[in-house]
Amino acid sequence: MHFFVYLVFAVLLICMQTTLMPALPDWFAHYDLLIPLVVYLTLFRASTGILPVIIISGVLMDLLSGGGGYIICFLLIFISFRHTTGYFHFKNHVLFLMVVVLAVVMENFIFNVVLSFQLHTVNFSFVSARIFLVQLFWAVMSGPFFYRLYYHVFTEIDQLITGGIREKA
Amino acid sequence: MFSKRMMVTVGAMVMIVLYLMVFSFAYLRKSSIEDAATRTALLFAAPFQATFSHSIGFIEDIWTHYFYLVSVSKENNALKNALAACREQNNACRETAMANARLRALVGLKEKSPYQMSAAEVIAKDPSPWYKTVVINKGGDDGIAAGFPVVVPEGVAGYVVSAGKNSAKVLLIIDRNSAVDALVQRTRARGLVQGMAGGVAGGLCRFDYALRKLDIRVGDTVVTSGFDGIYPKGFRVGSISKIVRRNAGLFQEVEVTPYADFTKIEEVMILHTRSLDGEGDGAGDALNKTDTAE
Repeated sequence: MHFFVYLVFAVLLICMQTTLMPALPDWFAHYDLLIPLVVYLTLFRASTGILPVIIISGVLMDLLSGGGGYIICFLLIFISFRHTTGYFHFKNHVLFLMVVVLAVVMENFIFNVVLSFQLHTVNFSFVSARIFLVQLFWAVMSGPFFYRLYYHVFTEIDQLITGGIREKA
Repeated sequence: MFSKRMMVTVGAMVMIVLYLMVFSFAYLRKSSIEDAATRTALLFAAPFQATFSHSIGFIEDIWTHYFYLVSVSKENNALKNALAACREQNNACRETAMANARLRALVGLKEKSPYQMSAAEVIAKDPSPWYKTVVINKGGDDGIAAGFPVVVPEGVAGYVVSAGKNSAKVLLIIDRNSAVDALVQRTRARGLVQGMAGGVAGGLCRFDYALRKLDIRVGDTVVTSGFDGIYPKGFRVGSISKIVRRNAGLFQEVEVTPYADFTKIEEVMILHTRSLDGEGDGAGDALNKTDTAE
């Protein structure tokens, strides 16, 4: 059941990413809305259904996009940060924010590597630096909001579905 | 040192990651499996995207048709003046077209048959800022197939890379994976218009392989050559905005600003350059046959 809830969230975000975000000015448009969801699932949710949702989201994004790299990025986020809460022994918005920022850095690095392969040269310019900085800005600004949103929504859904907490132990 | 089970797990993970890496990169995805996967993804996502897009359009409509009424009167006057100028220009064009038809008939040239066109709405754009594709609300059911060119009133927009049942993915000319065989209208200098979007310069194109000796000037119009088998001949692509001629090297560095504004692209026209039963092999070939006949 949780798998379907996560999947619905992912599909909604993909639709927003492809329809709502491009309608906004450039200053908003470059932020990947899937990253906060992937990070939240990776850090704070029990493992049931997470990995398939992350893979499906990545594949869907890759197929809808003209390029690729989302699946690798999402899997790397999952592999890299899955045990982070175990090391730090705390779960809060600060940790979430830090990991979201790192994930944005990771995603941009991966896309730049892919583009550099295509161009056969290092892909760096003022435009690419601006795209990166805009994403970092929105990661920092929206991080706490996404954390509160997902925390409340998933807690409510846990109560509805199982009557208990599905948070990662 | 490592258990057999661990080795197998790590091996399997490496295989999966390698597979996913290959699967991820669009420029390596050319198989029918990938095409089927893209069509499935479009089939799955397009209805949601269309709903979202229409909702956003509805809100935008309210905003632009109600809250922006203040400036409508001034705009109306300006548009009336522009319309008067256009009417005069249109009349001149009609005269020229009639003269052209008479002259063509006089020297026995065949008329180039115009292509069938379909109008489509853009329902989604690329989720990544690094790539430039859009999803339109017409697909295989409307006779759209991969390879059909897509245009807007201002000029060439791109071509269909994958067509689902009721939607299709269009690669815009500003995407770095796009290449359009083109000519400078004034001097017929030939080159390849390649997208630069995604990190280098948003919304611009390069005019590659233009020899240094060729006469190209800033402001020149670039049109499609028809030789690439996708875009018909003579469609406007953009104007030359920058030229760099270095002391060494065979080619000059030329930058093209497309006529189409890709940030505001909402409706497009798809040219049916070939029938779906396999008749005709693309725009370039069709036009070459016409040219030969001429």
